[in-house]
Amino acid sequence: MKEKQGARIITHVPVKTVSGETTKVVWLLPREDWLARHPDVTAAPLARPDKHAPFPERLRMPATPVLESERLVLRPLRQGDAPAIQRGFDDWEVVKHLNAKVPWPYPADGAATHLREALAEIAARTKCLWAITLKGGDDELIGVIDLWADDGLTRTQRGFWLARPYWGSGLMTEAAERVTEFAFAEIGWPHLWLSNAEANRGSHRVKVKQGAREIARIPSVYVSGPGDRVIWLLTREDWLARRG
Amino acid sequence: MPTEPDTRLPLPPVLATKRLILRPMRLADAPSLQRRFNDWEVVKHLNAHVPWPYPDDGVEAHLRASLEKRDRYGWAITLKGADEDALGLISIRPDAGDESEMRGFWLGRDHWGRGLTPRRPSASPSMRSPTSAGRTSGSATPSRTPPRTV
Repeated sequence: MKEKQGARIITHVPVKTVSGETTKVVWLLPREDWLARHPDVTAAPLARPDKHAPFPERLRMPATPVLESERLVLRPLRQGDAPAIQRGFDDWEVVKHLNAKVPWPYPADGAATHLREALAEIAARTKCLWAITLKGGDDELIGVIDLWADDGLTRTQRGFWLARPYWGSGLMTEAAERVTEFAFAEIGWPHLWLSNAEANRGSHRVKVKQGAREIARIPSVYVSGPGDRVIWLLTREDWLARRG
Repeated sequence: MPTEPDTRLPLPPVLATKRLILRPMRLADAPSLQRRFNDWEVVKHLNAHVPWPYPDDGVEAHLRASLEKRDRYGWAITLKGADEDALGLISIRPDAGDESEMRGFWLGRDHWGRGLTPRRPSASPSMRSPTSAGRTSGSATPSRTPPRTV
């Protein structure tokens, strides 16, 4: 039946059935695939989480831990990070592919406002937010990466940016890999939904390098204007198999 | 401690297809569903949470719990013109962000092979693969997907 409906096999996991232990096939039927096969159906807009509802306890994150990788230390964002965020983030090349909610031209107090919200999210444990810093460096923030739980609707669980002087050296992938390890090996999630602006080739490459599967493309709006949003799924099994 | 909001879903709507009426499942469906679910061929590939041998009040207990919990939309599968006789169940629920299924279904053996759920007509019963029943009994599929190995 799932094959008839055009669902995709996402992974295989062990399961106990009434008649014994065997393998469960996990399928995903993306709405976009199904709608493409049913052009006669008039679809409601994509459902969104209710912003006014209390934060669901099952989505609560652990306290943001310090994570180390070969060249990086990821540490929780903190009060003094505003000037470094303002310096790195007030850059059209960094900002242009981000969600249109980011104001542009970037206001002088943009980083301070953003940091206030970010620290509240860390404290409430609705997200983990890390400053990306160089190991053996001066602890200065060179970028940000964050992670939150799958709410079942928004199909995105991670965001990141890196100041331009640090581009092209694989540092963003290194940070993404460490945060992915935290999600799969330490929290124990089965998958990560990821997304990026189609035009954001750097962000796109990180997903490809991590072994994510492209699931859908949907219209969206970025700081630079309208563009497609690419939605990816990275399964724990795919990631563990690639890491060996 | 923060208390969880009431996340119970509304009753599902009645859905009509070419041959079927899917209507909200109800306690009165217990006898016809019990007769059809208490069948090794229906149950054997479901999640091991389903007890076997199947207890006499299994379906009734499941319906009672589901109708109270309302964490999924649950429909009785019925034929058009005979919507009192529940042939099986199909349910969907919101994505919890984990690996549990968002949809489960089963159909009594007396209505297999007619494409009602629908399924692939060519596969032999021995080729069926397991799918899990989710967290409660009577809510998963005897699918005919060929087994695959990792």
